[in-house]
Amino acid sequence: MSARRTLSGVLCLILFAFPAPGRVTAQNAGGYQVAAVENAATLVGRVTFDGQVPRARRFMITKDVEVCGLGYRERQEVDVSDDGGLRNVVISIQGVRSGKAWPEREGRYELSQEDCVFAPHVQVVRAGDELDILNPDPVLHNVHAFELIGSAQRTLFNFGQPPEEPVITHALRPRRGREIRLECDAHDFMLGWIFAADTPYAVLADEAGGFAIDGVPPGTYTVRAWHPYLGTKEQEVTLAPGGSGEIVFTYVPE
Amino acid sequence: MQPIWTLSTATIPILIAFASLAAGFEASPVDHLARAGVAGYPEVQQALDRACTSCHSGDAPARGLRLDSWEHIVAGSEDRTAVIPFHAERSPLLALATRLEGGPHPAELGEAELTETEIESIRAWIDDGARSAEGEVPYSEPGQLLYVANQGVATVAIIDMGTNRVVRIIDLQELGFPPNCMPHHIVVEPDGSHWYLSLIAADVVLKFDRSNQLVARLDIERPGLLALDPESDLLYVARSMVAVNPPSTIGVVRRTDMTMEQVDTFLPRPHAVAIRPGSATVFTASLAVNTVAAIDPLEETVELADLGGDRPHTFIGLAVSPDARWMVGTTELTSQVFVFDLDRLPDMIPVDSIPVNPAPWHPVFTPDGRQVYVGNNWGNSVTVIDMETREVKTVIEGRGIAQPHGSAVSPDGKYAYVSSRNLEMPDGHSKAGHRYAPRYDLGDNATAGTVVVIDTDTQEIVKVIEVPEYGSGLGTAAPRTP
Repeated sequence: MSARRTLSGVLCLILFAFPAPGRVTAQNAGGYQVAAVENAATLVGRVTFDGQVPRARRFMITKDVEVCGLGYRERQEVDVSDDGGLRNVVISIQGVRSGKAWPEREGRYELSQEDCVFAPHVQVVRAGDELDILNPDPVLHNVHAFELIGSAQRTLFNFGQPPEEPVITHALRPRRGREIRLECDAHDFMLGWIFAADTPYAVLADEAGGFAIDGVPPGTYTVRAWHPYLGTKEQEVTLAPGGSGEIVFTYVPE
Repeated sequence: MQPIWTLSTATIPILIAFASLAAGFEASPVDHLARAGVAGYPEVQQALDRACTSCHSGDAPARGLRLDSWEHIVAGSEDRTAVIPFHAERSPLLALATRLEGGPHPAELGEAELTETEIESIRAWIDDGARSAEGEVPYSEPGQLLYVANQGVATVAIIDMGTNRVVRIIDLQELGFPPNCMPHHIVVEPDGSHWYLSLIAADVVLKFDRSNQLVARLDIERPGLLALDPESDLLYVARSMVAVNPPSTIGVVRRTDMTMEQVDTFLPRPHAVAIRPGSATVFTASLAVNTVAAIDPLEETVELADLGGDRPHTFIGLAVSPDARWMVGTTELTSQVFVFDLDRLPDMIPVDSIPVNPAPWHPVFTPDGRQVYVGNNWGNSVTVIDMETREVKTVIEGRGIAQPHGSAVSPDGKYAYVSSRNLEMPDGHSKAGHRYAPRYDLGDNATAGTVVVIDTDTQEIVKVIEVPEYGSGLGTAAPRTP
């Protein structure tokens, strides 16, 4: 397959607007500062999967079958497009201390549990921002979020959410890890993921595995790809002033 | 904490529903199948002698299994049963000869394989009861039986607690129930004469006799845990957790004729249920709210106790000590074992709460009342509680404990039995890991439920018994609750 051919379409999907020039305007808890970016560069790329795609895994529904479904639920943990693009991958540029403003959002961050499914399955949320956790189901859910720190984990939050509380808002404040695993302590087959971004230079790859990050200060960076089930990969990239760089991450079967 | 209200006969009658009798239900024989024209044992032994006994005989037979006589075949290997009468497909002898990944045994070792005719003879012989030349069916007079509901595959495995072997498998599909009928929990008459099984998704409770013939059925919406009063004719039926909004009632069933009345618990989702021996009191607790109910069907009263707390506990199981003094209740979301002093009734004040590994499921007392065993469904472990100190005595982990669910003890109290679901779990999930791989790979991603046998003196796992998929509730005539 041709990664470049796919990238030509991806370039239309620039996710973040260029920030307006200006001095430092804000600093978040992670130390990131919003500042004018001179000669901003753009990073584009794609994540692919090369090999036999693992079969979907089947998890038995053990509770609340009238809402969650009877029998087994299938989850395609390695979700690959027809032309080999890998979905559900978060791309982040490491080590950017200052740069573009956070993009304007339409609405708030949301995590739904409708029909006993965490949706979206993977999402990028700005660290420190509030997340609206929705329970439209007529059953009790119990969101248990784990901050992943290397091979360790710690509970970030853990609360029951009965139908009488359809929305619970919680700020995402991981201490050290960026990756968060979501479980429902009431439904053992539910699973979801959040990447808590401390800079605006983190995006979720699109349905074809493509991504584009703009407004990057020129320089040499480590770019990290994180797939919840296949793990992390890193590459170095140098972005020239006003230029663009391109990288491809390729995952293979474990 | 005080009960939030008390209901009495004068205020609210609690017997609200009508009788439902399984009239005219035709029982299907299971254990006395008589099929014409099936192969006899001599034919089978001839096939085994040709292909198997060169290795499976003598003082050191392969895998500890001798196949050179009916008695040895029936004795099985050290690990497991070789034949399960009336159920060829679940019998390792046939499964290994036909479905083993890497080639059927013994052809996988380069030895001559059983012919199709020989395999069919073995299949027919097992399905006819694996009888001896004299017509004797193996394990026809077992000792104390342990019944295992296999929620994933519509079967019940029956284990002889004397030998810790699976001696029968009841296939509910052969009785006309769908593959996803979800058998969940079993209770047994004190004399072992009958056993009762809840089928969650089929909305029935079934009554079998000791020879595993279905003798009656009772329709009830989303039945779950059962509790049998050994001192009366009553069986109590609570509601399954698969139901989102089941009736707030529990079923009160007269076992002799399987008629039922329903008693309102005034609780949403009454799930746990237990009897206090020597009294008419039955307890239930809710999945949805932190409330426990004590019900006296004779006095027609319900005492409700609000346990408070800033988050739902989600009560899973209740168990009452053999001396009727103590009751323990397990909670899924807060991972506690609450201890209630029943001598303080009507006050339902927990006198202790013991934190345990995640999601304690069905608890059971040992016959002396000194220990409680409970599997931690999210923790892949079994917690043993010392009831004298009300502290965790030990936590057992090991092969075969994979999402533990049901529990039981042997009549002499020497062994505790804990079933496991052993379902597939997502990688990285807090519950993943410890998954039990069946001893033999029979292809098709075959999995197995388990029942681990734990020595109550040493708290060591002494055996892992494989059962069909998703081991859930356990039932035995031995002292046990729920």
